[in-house]
Amino acid sequence: MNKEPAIAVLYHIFYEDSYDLVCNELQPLQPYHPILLFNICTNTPGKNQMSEALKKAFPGCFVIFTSNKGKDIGAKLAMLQFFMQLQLTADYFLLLHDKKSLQALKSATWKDDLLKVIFPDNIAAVFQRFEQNDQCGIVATKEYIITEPFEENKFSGINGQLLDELVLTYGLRPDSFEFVAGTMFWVRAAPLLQFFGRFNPLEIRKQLENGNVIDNFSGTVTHSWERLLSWIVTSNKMFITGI
Amino acid sequence: MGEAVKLDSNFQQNVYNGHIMQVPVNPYYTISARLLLQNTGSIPEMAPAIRINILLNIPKVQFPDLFLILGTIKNNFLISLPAGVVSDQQLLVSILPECYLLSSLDNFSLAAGNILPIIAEEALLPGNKNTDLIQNYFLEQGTRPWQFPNFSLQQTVPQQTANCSFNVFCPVSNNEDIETIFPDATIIAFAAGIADITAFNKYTALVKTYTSPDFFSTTFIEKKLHEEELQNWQQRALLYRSFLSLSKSVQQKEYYDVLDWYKKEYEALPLWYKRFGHIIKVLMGKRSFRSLFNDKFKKNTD
Repeated sequence: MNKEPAIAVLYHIFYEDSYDLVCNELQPLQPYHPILLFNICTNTPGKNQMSEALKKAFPGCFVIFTSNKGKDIGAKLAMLQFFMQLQLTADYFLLLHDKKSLQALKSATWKDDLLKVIFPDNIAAVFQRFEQNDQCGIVATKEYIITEPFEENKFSGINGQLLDELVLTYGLRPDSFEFVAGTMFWVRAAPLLQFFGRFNPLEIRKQLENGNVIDNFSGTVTHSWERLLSWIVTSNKMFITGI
Repeated sequence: MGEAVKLDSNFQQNVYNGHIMQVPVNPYYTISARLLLQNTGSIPEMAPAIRINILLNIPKVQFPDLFLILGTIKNNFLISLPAGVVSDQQLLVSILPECYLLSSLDNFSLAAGNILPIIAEEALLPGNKNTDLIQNYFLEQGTRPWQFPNFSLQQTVPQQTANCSFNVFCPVSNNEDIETIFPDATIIAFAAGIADITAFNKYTALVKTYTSPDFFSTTFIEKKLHEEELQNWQQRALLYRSFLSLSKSVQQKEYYDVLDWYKKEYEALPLWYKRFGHIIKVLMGKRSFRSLFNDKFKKNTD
């Protein structure tokens, strides 16, 4: 019989009305006894009350407050550093945040689609994917696995220039430039911990933009790291699979 | 000056200019991280209402244990750095991520502002330039500016800087009256004599006996929290307004992107090709045959 997978959930909360949503979303994971790390934005009204409520709903969880730097990416980097600081162990991370993307046309369905990975019926399938193939590094909603355009030996999208620099700096050479848009996915812990053991997540976080940056009009370090979080894993000869 | 009260005969008092100090209200009680780690079993006995000031006098390898403790207790806390650590640039830089993450824990107290006291065993030191390293690191992580008040464990007179004061209790034998000196003082330290947390609990309980009603402190903290909350709501209102205006430009761009794609992928095709495409649609059942000749008929089938 397979042992129960050790899970750590890193959940970033930005919006003041996310408490019920978070509790509902995490309910299906409770049988797996995950380690829960929450990051609430320091600017979120009612953060203290939300933190108290989370600790009541999920005893033993950890809550940190960090500034709105690098949006959910900056928060996830802070939580990764916190996780490493605690010297806890996990087989898989689940990265989540209370995405709303109010500026986008598809905002209403975006979050729901991304959350397919924690629908009760899908959780067992996720672990099956990981267990069946050691090279399976990330499991995400298939519609949000997209490929960053790469033409004539360089990235050609809006974040292209930054991506060229970053993959060089961090020595990332994935076989394909697929990544999970929206940064909500299951990921094998080992490659992330190995990478962030070499490159301190807080040092990377320093470089991210402050506030609610978007990459609709120009490239951002934050959105570039959205891609790199996937490529850290796929550079280890692993692949992304969709459900 | 507050109303004088008698100290318990078992309590070791400190003397300031012939008077015994009134203990400040709702203060942070200084406790060394080393002592905390040596007494993990006693930590649950600490009343959740006690606020603590952790003196980070442990090596880097012991920080994970400290995180596990502080991440799970209910007590609000501050962190302080020993002056020796701050003056050792290499050591200080190595623990900056730990200091930042400790200050990010939800029970880290910002009631008195962003304060990270530097505490020396000996006489007061002048400002340490290495505090710039801490300041810059924290600012780069997106925090508001911090203050680094210097205090000494040897000085038994009240030590005060902006937003923060520090009182050290030293053992003396006689009983005296006490009077209010700093009703809004924030940090208390015991110079010596505490071997474990049980003793710490006893002293803090005794100190609390002699504190003024928490009125000033409570209102001060509540006011601070209320102001912060108000500011957060104001920022949030501005954010939602910016989303409204941003969504217009973003959706406009998305609309023109789609239109542009349509023009390049479909509109550029020759007319005969497009017409042929409509016949294929009819053959596939995606369009009614009669709509090819009369606009009155429903064009597309669902």
